[in-house]
Amino acid sequence: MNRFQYHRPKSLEEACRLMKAYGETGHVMSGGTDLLVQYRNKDAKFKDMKHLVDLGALKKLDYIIEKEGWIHIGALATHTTIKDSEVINEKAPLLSGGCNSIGSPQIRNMGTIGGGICNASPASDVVTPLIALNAKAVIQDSMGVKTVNIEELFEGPYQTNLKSGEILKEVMFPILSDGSQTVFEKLGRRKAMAISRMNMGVVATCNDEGSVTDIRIAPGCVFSVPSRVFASESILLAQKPTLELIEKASQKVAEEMIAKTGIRWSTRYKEPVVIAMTKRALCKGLGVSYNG
Amino acid sequence: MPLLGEKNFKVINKSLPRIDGYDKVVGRAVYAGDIFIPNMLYGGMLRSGKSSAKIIRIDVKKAKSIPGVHAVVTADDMPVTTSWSGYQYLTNHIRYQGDCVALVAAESRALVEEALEAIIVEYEDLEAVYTIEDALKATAPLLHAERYEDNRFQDSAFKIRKGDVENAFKEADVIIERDYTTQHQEHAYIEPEAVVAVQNPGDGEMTVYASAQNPFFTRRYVADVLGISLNDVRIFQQTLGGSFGGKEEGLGLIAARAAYLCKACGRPVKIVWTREASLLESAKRHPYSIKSKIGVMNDGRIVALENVIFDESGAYNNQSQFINWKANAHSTGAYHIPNVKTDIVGVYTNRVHAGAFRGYGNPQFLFAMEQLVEEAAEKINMDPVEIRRINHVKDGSTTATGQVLENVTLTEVMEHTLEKADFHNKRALYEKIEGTKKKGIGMVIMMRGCGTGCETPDASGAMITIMDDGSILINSGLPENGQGLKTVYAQIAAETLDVPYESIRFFGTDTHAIPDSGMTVASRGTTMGSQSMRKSALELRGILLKNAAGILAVDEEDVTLEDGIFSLKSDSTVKKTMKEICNASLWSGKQLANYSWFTPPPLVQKHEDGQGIAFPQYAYGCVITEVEVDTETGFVDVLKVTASHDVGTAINPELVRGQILGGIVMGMGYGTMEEIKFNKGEMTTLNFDSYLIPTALDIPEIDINIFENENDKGTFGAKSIGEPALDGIAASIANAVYHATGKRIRSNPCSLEKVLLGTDLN
Repeated sequence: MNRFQYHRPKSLEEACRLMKAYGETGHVMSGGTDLLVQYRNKDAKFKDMKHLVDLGALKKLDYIIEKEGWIHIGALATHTTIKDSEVINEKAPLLSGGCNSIGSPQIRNMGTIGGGICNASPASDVVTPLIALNAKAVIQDSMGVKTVNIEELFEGPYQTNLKSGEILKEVMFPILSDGSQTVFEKLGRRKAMAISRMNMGVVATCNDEGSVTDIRIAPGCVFSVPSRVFASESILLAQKPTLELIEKASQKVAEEMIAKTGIRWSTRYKEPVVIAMTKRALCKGLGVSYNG
Repeated sequence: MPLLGEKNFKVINKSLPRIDGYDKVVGRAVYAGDIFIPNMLYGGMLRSGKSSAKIIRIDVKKAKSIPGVHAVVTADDMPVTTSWSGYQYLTNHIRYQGDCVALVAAESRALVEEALEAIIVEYEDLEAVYTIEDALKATAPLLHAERYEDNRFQDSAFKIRKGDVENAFKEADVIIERDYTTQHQEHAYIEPEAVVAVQNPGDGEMTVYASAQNPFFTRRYVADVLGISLNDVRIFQQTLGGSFGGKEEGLGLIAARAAYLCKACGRPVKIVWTREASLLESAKRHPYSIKSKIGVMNDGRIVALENVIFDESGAYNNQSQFINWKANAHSTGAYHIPNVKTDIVGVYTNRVHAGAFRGYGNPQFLFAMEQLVEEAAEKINMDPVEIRRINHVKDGSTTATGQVLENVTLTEVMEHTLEKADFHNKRALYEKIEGTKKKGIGMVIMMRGCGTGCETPDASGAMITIMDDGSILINSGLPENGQGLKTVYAQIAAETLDVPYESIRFFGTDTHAIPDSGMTVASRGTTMGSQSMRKSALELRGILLKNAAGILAVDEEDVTLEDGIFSLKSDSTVKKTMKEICNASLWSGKQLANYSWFTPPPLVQKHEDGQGIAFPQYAYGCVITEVEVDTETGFVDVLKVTASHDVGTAINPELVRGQILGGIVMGMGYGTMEEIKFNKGEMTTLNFDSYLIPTALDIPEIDINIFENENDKGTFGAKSIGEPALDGIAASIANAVYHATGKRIRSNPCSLEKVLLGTDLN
């Protein structure tokens, strides 16, 4: 049986020191809504765990701040905090939409954005919006902080490339220009407590002439490492959006999915659905009418 | 036939508060898992994780040497069960993933886990079969070669031979043949199985506090494993957090294991299953594979039906023989069909054993039958309502077993429901919807035999004791499983005695306190099980009147008892309370208690052709379901369910509504998302993150219509409702999905993949 020591550091610096010292035998918990379930299921990654470092006391990291054109969200902000935040609802509604779709009220009250990101689930409803928001991750270690694009955190499904002693401190993203539209779509097998079968984040901006100046397409559950689909976005960029172009861009998302992950047992289902979900999100984001 | 509300009763037919409601709401009801006894050990079991294997070597030395571990038991140490189900407390021959190979008792749950991990087992893998189709192949490895020459569980074979199917098919204008399949469903009760065993150090009597659906059934397992007589075993049924058929055999197995460990260690032992253990070893709803052929005339008459049905028993013969009898008897749905041939048999596979589950064969068969009838109607360009109007059972119709029906209420129930749901208008309206989200409306009609019928005798016993203060204790061999049995029985006793409902308590099931009345199953508790309660109350009322007459020194005919007050017909100023009469009765040595047994009228059915009287009466129902289907993702959103049921008499209308609401949600899960998934024999849905049931947000708008009628078959005219509430829901969803999309989903449930692609991903 696995026995481990439980730590509840008072500062992020202390947490980094502990994690550095424990190396592979240490694990960070931030909310625990994924970690406790995985631990109970005897997930192999906890086989050598000797120390659990619970960030629950770091209330200072539960913040949402708007500053100099960026929004900063502390790693300990819960999904409930984010979904209820006026700033997020106004400036990045797709993120509040994503957070609001996670689990149940109880899970949203415990789960944090930092924990959700570092769990690195390909089906994360918080990562998808952040990818579409061009978010950056601020990482602390005992030496100081560094900032990376959020995509760079992910190594594979349920795997980040954070090193021992590195802890995610906050995520930040540039505030979208006025007139940008955001969309978050989720497909689950039921209406609550559902892990996404697929999700989709879109940010779309057009200029006064109606041409697309900024388009970001971030599908969830389709790549092993989350990312925007630039090949698809370029079809729409600088164009006036039409249903035909959107369909072409949606098709491209499916092609990219197959190019990256190959034909799998689930492709038969995922291919048509990713096309439909992209089409819907793009039509909503770009104001193209589509009966879907 | 009236809707609810035209019957004239004092206590029944009213939505009185649940007798056990307060305790549950404030959290003081005691569940088996809540019980803590000083000096108690914890028990746990080791599973191989394999579907088919033999143990070559098992080494428990290390596990035994861990301080705080008091017993490590293997199959070689334990007696072989004499239970009819065939599966074992422990086994060296693994036939499915849930089979247990060792037991541990230790000071803490953590130590139990440590000891289980320390047991070393070497296995030899054996060949396995995971589907009905593979299990039936001539080359298939046999699950029970010692008893059966192939994987057919012959004791569960039933048939219907009614009329002349061959000739009728020759005459039919149109014949269609279809295959339908249904999946395993988990009961998903909120309370996993729990038992605490404690032995009296003096006389050795073994007591088990258990989350048992049928405590008398549990008692047999405990006596069996200890090799003692039934009167040395005492089972207390604790408050149950749901059962639905699930806490029968599996619960008996863990009660026996806990009792065995308790005796071995000389200390009380508690076993509580994790959700994973519950999913692995508890029974599931039997998957059915149904091949049906139907012959219709161009005028809509159904002239012939042939069903070949295999159900997956899994690794052991858990109830296939009973469920197949029931499915066989219901194998024409709610239709009068003159020529019928049905063959049904259970099939062994190396997957989890299937067992009792609310519905018991009907949800599976209706999923096929109610689609088949619509498919046939379409072939002759007939509306799905019209074909039902022509063929549904009416007075004088015969069932699959040839039973002639009387007092059939289906026409009225169906027509009312069609109107209430605005079926025809909505059908036309939904067909005009454009776009990718399509709406559909689908219907189901059904009938269900009330009680156990010919399956087992529907007899029962009940006891009423009146104290010297006039307060009353009632008890029955049928326990409260959350369905409201205590409340209903108290209402029936109060109505019959003519005393206030509030003066009655039902103290719950202790196997030492009341005789076995058979199992609380088959939606029998109210319609048949409470017959003995009514009978006992009737007899005791006579005794009370006689007591009062003696005490008041008047003729017996002069005394009346109303609302708990005795008075004289000859002099209305003479009034005595229950307390006055019962106190005087006690001290003058007069009887204040009664135990009565109810024996139902005989039912007879022939095994060779299935013909005979299968049930005392039938409950009729109609369900109409509206869905919205996302045709680009396959997501089925159940929008509204209109459910109508003829319950005979609603003893407690709010409890009836509760049964119907719960049945709809459970049936909706069965029809849309619930599915035990396997990788070969290995279950991959081991908790509620992967085995999905509907959440509060998924529950549709629900319109319930309760019908009553006059009949003399059930207690105060009551029929069954627990299972009818669920039976037709999945079938109505499949019909609605077809209406919305034009796609027939012949394999339950209507999951994302099947609705979009027509088949599951495999």
